[in-house]
Amino acid sequence: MKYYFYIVIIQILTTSCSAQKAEYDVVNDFLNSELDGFQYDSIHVRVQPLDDFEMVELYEKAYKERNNQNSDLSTVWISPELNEWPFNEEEINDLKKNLKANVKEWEKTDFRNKNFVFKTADIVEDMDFRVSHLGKGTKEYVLRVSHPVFDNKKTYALFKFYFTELFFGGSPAKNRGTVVMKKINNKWVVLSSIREAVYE
Amino acid sequence: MKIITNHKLRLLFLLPLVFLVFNCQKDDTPDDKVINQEETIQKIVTLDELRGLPQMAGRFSITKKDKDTLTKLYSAKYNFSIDLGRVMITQKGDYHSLSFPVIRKVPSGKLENLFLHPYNGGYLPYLMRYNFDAKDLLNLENGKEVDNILTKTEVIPLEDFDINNLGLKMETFGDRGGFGYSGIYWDGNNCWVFDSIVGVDADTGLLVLQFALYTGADCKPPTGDGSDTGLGPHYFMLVDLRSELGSSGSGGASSGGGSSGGPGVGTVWNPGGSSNPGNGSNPGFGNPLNGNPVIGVIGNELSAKSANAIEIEDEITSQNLDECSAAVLEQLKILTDKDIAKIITKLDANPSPYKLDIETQQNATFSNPAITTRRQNSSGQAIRFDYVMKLNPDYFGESTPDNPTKANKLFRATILIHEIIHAYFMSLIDDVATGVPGSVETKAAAFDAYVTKTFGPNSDASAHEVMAIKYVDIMARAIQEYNTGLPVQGMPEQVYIDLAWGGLSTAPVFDTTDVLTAEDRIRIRNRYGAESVNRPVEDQEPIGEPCK
Repeated sequence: MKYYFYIVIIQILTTSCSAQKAEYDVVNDFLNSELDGFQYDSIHVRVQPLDDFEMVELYEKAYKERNNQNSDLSTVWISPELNEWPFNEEEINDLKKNLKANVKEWEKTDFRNKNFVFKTADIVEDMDFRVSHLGKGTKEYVLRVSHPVFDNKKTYALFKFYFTELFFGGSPAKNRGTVVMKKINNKWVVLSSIREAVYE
Repeated sequence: MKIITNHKLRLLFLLPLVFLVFNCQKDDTPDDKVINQEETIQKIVTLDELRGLPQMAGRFSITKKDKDTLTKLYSAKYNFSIDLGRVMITQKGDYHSLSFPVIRKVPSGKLENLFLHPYNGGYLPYLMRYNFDAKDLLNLENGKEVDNILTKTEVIPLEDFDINNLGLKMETFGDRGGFGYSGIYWDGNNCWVFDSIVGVDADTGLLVLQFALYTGADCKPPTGDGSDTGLGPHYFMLVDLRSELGSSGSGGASSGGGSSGGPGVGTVWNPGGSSNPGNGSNPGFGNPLNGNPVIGVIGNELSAKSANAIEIEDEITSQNLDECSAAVLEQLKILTDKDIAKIITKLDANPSPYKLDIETQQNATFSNPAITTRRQNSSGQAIRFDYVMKLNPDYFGESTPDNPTKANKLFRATILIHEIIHAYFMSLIDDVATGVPGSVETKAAAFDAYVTKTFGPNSDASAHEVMAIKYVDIMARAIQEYNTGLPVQGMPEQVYIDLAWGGLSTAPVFDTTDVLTAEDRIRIRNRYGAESVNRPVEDQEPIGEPCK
């Protein structure tokens, strides 16, 4: 009896871990691609995820303006051009209704890259902390990312991504904002990213 | 005045390749540029080179110190100044001509040059007035030829123009040695020595001279070799040369050369002399370029400041800006050579007017020193040509004893200039979106980032790439002028180039450009960081003035 009890516990843990890993495959596949060849000394992951609602709202705005050729959101701030919109208006509304404030913080087991270091927002956004790293000659960055959301078939996913240099804050990454992903041949690939109309 | 419009002039203008020097980057670099592979050469000459020309016969004989500040001389008769800091010589065989930028207190709205054409061992002076539109000015800026230049040019002989006495007549003080750059002046109480010509006062049009109080018992003039003693603080005074020269005529003025070198034998600055009626009948004047088919056109600083750019500058508001940053912004608006309007004009000869509000953003959700974005209406829709620059209080705001590492004024100026250029990029997007005529062809040419998808997948990165390619120099000039108070002569100093690059240091282009070495990148980041927190970073000491 005792033996079976341990088997169940192990199964629960295994199932739980694998489920979590699958959910974050989309983020990890993205990071593998995004950081491929990128030179860095440290990447600080902000453990508090970015806001899911803001992610969806940015997608929604882009969706509404997708056919407006005078919209600089569609002509400038979505890149590359997005031809597959995984969520229509109705689905966007469903997404927004079902979104819950996802308070689960990022942790080491969520990422494949084991070199990431994890910091709370009040540290990684703190000026004193950033100043203390100034002049070290190291290339340090901050990774901020939201939890992903998926379509019903789990073919498409969205999440918000913001990757910046630790002290000066500029973004050296190719993508920023709401990232639209698609699963192709069991691997997630970037379709596009939708940015806020902001110059840094 | 006589306006020459004969057909010979057509040929004269068709032959030359007009090399247009419009900005200090080109203006101040004595860099020869062969514009005709056979024989025509144009370049910007230094003051020493100018004085060395035989026809100049020692004119502009000024002290070394003066050369750092003397850039403008004023003509009372014609009520304009010329800029000695940016003189173009055009040479072809034994022939050469000189083109000086003309600066007016009240802008004429047209590009003008003082054109000196060799004649009888001296020069004949002409005013060349170019009726260039925005596209022409853009071509000038890019070193391209101006279409149909003949139809846009007036050639006006300058009767009684005497360059030898520009801004040199001075009678306010009694003097002991005759006015010259080495004279001593007694005002009844103190002894003074002439120090330098600062320029023309923008508000009054008066020449601004700087004198040094001389307290030596002998009141001997300084030698300028460093052995002088007793020089007190410098003082400024204004001399209204217009009234003096206007009443005495050029004859009186021409005798005042004093130690500045005199007119020189055989020099024809004023072919008719003071007795000449000056109505164009003087046989000394004619086609200034007859037989000499070359001419140089040089931009003046007023032509580099479009009305729209001035309007944009006026529309930059800062109601919610911290006090120190607001003061920096106001200073940026009044720089002599690279104020905000001129920077914008440099980017675009005819920018669309837009609004830009700059505010210190409390509880900023971004970690950058600043961002530039659009203003939105109550429905969340972006408003065209209406932008907001948000400054991060981590860097901006006031320094306190508990929080002393706020950005100094130099860093704030750097960020403001950087973001103002971003706002301009936003306006280009709006130009295209709203169908501003020519925006796709001309604006996109100026803003390569608009075709962002050819640059890369990141508009922000593309904008920074364009900045790196095109605008580091102008940013550096503006930053240096802000910090030193002096327009940049020649190349900007490295520290200011580094600061201009600093704003791009997190963009992909910073790591990929072959303009920078690994050592450059480290120095730039440390410099940028040092000014941003106003404390040393590695071997870089901040040079900016703290915000207190």
